Amino acid sequence: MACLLLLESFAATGCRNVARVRRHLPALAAPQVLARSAGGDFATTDSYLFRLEILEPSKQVLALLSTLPKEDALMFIAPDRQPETELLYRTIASLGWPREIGALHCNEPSTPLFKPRQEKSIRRLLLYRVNALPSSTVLAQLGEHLKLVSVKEDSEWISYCSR
Amino acid sequence: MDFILLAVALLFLMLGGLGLSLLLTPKQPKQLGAAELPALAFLLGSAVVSSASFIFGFWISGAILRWAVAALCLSLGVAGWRRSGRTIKARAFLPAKKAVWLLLAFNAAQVCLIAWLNSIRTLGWDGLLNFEVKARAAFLNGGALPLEFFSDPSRTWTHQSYPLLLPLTESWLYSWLGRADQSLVKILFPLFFAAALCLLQAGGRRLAFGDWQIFVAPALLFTAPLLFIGDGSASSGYADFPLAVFYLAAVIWWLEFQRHSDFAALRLAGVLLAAACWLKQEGLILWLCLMALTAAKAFIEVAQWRMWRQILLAALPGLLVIATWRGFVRFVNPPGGNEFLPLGVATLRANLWRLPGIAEAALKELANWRHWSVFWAVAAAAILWLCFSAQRQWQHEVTGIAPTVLIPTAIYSAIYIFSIWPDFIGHLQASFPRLLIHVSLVAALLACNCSRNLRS
Repeated sequence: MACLLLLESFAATGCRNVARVRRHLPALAAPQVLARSAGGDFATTDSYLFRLEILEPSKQVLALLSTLPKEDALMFIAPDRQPETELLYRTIASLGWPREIGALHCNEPSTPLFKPRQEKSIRRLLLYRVNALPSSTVLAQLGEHLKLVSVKEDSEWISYCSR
Repeated sequence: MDFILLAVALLFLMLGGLGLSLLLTPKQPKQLGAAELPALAFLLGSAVVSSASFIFGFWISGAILRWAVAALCLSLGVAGWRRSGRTIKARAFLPAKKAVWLLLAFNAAQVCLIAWLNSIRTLGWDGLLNFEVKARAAFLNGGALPLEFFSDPSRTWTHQSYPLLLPLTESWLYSWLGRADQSLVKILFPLFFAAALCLLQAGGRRLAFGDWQIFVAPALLFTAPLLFIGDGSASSGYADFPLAVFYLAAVIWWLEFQRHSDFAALRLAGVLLAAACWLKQEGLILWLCLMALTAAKAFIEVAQWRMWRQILLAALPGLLVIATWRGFVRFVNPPGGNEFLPLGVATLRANLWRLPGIAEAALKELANWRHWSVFWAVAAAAILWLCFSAQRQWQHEVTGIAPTVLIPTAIYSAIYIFSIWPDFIGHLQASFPRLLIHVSLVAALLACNCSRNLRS
């Protein structure tokens, strides 16, 4: 049993090296296949964040969010509610723990899809494929599509999509 | 270094599970085979580690929590060993017959396939966003999920009211590794698959299948693509396949009780079902089904008070898990909505018109070639064959296994009568394939039983 566990563990850790040749393996024909993994600590989140079109997206998102206080809340604002956008939001929010990250899609601007606790003030926004307002300050940008901006008023994000 | 830390984490987990298995199973030496002991150790080990992390996590965290859980596993291992008074001989793990060697090779090939699929594929949507996200949060909080997580309105998509066996087992690996690693955590799933194959072999041995009949179940598994790849599969990081393994183990021990009126076997089935309730909400339905079947048997046999007391004792772990978790959920009051209407006669009457549509969609799913190929066709043929078989002894056995597949499947289909989705067929198509995974392993065992009938 111990040998089996050691072998399993060894196989699992060895997978990272195998990952280098994985991309050359043919795709399996199967229903609803999962995305291909490149291995590593962020094998899944990197794969789900590929739409950001940056290298090591999980590490970059983590580095960006770690600059913010843990008690802070943010809103992720995206132009639509496509499944890819949903996946991107949830992946970023999963990496963002313990910060509360709500979501607002501009094609349904009146109701945020997810909202942080009311007592939390929202002074920063993550804009995905949405332009920043002239009045807001761009604090950081990841690739072409994701910007971290700060807003002056708590409620400013509500009107973000109705410009 | 990573593989040593992973091996240590898994060894502690299995030691705890091994101890609990030995404490729960009867003392007779033939009760536990070489195949089912590691399988039970892994299943019960994950239950021990996750529930201990959850309970101890209210008071301690970090390294202290990790070592407290490790000490509990060690104590359970020692207590189990002392109670059983067994010595394990390496020879006991080596097959004596050529057929079993071949089965071992075939099963090893399937485990290798699952391990490879796990290594080349990412976690699925729920694998990351329901389970791994909680494991990561628990790891960052020193091994226990903070209460704020459950009441965070911006994280309702993580389904905060779902039970925690899988996330806290993943978090146990993270705590030993010292970091959250989305690749290495997938080591759990080939182990669940290996446990399933061990249990199918053990189930065959217990039901006295011949050397070649025991090939039927693993071969049948091999025909179902959804068990290998896709949402809910053994390579997706979802809780559906692990739940199927817990249910298979519970059914095997429940059958042992049915055949030999062995109450220790019933108690072990009760503990495995309690772990299933701690793994996924649908575990409650599986627990209810087996407990109802047990009560029906007692009722038919006009059982005496002693038997009812034993049934109650077997139901107790499940009741405890369900009541504790429900109490906790009520206490933290997670903000997420519900996907089903409240169960009630009024809703049932109002939505009964959905039934034909649901039945048609469920049958279509059972015949879905891309998900199941011939799997359910073979299982259905096996059930029909056994039902119409002239030999009463086989009929007796089919009344044992067949309801454990048919009743949960019927409940799983009927639950969409209460779906809150206006497009309830869409709801069924999105989740029913994964629900079928829960009973698929028991269906494979059933087909195996039919092959014995054919031979005889």
